[in-house]
Amino acid sequence: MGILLGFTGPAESVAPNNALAAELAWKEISDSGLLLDGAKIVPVRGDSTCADASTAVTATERLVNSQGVLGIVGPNCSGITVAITRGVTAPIGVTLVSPSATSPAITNLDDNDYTYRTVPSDARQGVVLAEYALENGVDTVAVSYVNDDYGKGLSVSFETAYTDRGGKVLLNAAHEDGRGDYSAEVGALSASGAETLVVFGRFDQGGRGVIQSALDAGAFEKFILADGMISQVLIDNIGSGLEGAFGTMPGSSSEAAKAFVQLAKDAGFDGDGGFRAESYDAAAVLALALQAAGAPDRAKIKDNVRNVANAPGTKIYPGELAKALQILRDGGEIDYEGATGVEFDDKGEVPGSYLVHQVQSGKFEVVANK
Amino acid sequence: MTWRAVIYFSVLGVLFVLVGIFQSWSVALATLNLCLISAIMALGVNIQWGFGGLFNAGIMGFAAIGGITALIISHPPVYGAIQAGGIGIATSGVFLLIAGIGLWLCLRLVRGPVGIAFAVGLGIVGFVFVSSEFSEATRAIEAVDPASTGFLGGFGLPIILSWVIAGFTAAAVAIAIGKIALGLRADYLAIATLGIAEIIAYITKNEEWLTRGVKNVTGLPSPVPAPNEMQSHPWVQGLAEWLNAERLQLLSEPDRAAALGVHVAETASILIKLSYAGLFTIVLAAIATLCALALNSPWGRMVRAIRDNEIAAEAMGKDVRGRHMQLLALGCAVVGIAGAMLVTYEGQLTPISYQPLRYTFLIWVMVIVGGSGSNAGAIFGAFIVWFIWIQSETIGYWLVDTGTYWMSEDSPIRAHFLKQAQYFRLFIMGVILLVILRFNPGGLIPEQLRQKLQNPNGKHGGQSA
Repeated sequence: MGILLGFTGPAESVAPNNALAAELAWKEISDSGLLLDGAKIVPVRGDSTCADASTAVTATERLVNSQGVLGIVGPNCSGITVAITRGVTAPIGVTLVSPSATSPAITNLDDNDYTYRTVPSDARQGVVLAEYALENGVDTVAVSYVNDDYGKGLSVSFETAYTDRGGKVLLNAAHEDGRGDYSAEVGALSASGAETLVVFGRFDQGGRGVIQSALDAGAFEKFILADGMISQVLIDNIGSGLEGAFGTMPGSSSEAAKAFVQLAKDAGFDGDGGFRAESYDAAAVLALALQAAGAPDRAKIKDNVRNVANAPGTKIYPGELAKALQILRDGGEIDYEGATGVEFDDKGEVPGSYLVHQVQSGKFEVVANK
Repeated sequence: MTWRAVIYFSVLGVLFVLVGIFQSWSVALATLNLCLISAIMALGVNIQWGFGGLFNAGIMGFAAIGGITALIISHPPVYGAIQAGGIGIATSGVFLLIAGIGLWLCLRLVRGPVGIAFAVGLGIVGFVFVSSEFSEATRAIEAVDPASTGFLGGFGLPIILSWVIAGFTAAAVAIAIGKIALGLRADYLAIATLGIAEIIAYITKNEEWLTRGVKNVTGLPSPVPAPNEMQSHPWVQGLAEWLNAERLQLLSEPDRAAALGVHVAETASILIKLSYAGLFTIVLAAIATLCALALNSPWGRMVRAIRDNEIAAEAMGKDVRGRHMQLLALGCAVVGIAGAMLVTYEGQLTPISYQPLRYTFLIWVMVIVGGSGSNAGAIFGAFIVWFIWIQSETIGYWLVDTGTYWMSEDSPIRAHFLKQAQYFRLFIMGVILLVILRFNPGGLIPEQLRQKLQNPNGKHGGQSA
């Protein structure tokens, strides 16, 4: 099995923990000894760089043709996902499950059914967040998004949904990752007259910088966040200024999400935030599809992805992979829910159920289920 | 070519064959194709730096211009967007042109403070007109189905045509930049081009009506058949069967069909890469031949004379500025062509991929490692640097794996290093470059200058480069 993530490049701070999460699922499966005839999953890592398609495609070629992987978890970034699907995995026939490529462009990609993602398209998250914000009496905002396909797609879907439902977006402006100073951006946002700032960015890059400058300048006190921002690390870095901020994160039940965080903690890393649960789910789905296929055959793995991920069958949550393997071995049906509520439609997309998290006394707490 | 170049290129050929045998032919060909494109870019840089000593630190910008050109030439037009904002864009273009001509007339015909006052007034009026018209048009265009289009699209012409046009577009932009910046001394020119390249990258990222911005344009038409189409050809299936006959015979009937399917997919992907490699080799051979001819012509000697001593050359009556302009335009045109070829090969334009590390720094490294001033050097440098860039991931992992092999399987140090193996890529790259340059300060295939005194029997002073 391959792990293809952007270990170097814009997503380099997210990728290592995603890889750990995926490897955690495979370790759980290998250790159970129930996969096929006691087979083990050997993870092979490749660097998708997140930005440079030519390097990513060659790395994929290596995983697929020379290491002979059966399926791939990754890549993180939407542009690379499209390049790899078109260039390598769809023509050759290797299942790709991305944990964090959220661009709507992937929905209708011509992928011979080989590309899936365990993260919902941004188109949905924007709507959910807009509805929740309005329900809670926030009707005028300014938006700051990270200038890439993730931030752009999310900000557009949010603005459309928000204005359609009667909210007002006074300014929708981009910020770039990796800057030292965001006071110019914050100045413009604050000059728009909005009292609430919506930040679609990354918790350890520009998103954090924007919030920090906004607090330092006293420009905003209320914040709305999205999945890229929800992480304990953000609260630890910013401090009490974030109190009361809320945001959406893919997921279906807080119990399952907590189970995954606990699993990750036992394995020695922080499972909270940054598409880690999605990575675990992506890896688990691939391995379970392999078990259902009954043989290490790339095409059969693809055919079984929906069998293991969708109803009917026994629901499987994080940490129950051994049980799932046993059921499949006995010829039963499973419905892998995982930490984020996985259910693939005919485009290979998850429907997008979201949990609303809010910062309450220095911690993200789940306050609503959408 | 010298014996040195022959040996180096043979070693390189062996390396590719080894990758083909030990990893796979797909990887070898994918690497080769990128090497060919990089070699063209490196030749472009070599024209500017190696021939003429122009320090252009904005290679990325010209690669991006090539990419945008490929998009505009090949993408089918988006009629909805053209209806919504095409007229607006066209009018603002006309306004811009009128304002530009007006400005020029003001400054040329009405000299002195009156002319300047007129020009400033005209500038303000023109700006107001253009910006209101333009922002309305772009808003209308970007609102047309933003999830899948939201930009004007292009002309829907064959994408290969864009390679030629990209050359002209990049040259035109280079001339415009040269008019402003070429008077600057080497280091100032570097700063200016660096800034301009960033501007171009920002335009690609943010002018959504033109390039779709960070939402990326994917699925550009390809000059060679698509994988699915290739796989369905009977002769491709026959070829795959013939190539793998021995392996297939060992399998029983149902397995054989499945295995054949895999082999057909693999053969088709290799054939596609081979056709790209053919196209790219033709372009590289053409450009390299032209470069070699140019370098050995009187013109080539003149630009090198200017490079080595600008003042002396000027004193001899050579038009330094004119030659610099030519070099800048020619070099940028070559980089633009390579930029368009890269977008063609990837089949998509992803503006965030235009990063200076990848498109300016790496190409410069290729030229310097290969030997600036030497065409064979630039090409070889591009091949070897890209090869290392790709293979350093494997080398890094291997190094970490063997380096910690003596530790026990569950040793935390070994586990830690294995997890960090990806990051050794940049480290290995740096070490190899340092070693190469330490022992070959002039590059691997350095420029050869004719030296009449040491070579008195040579007809016209022997060969150069």
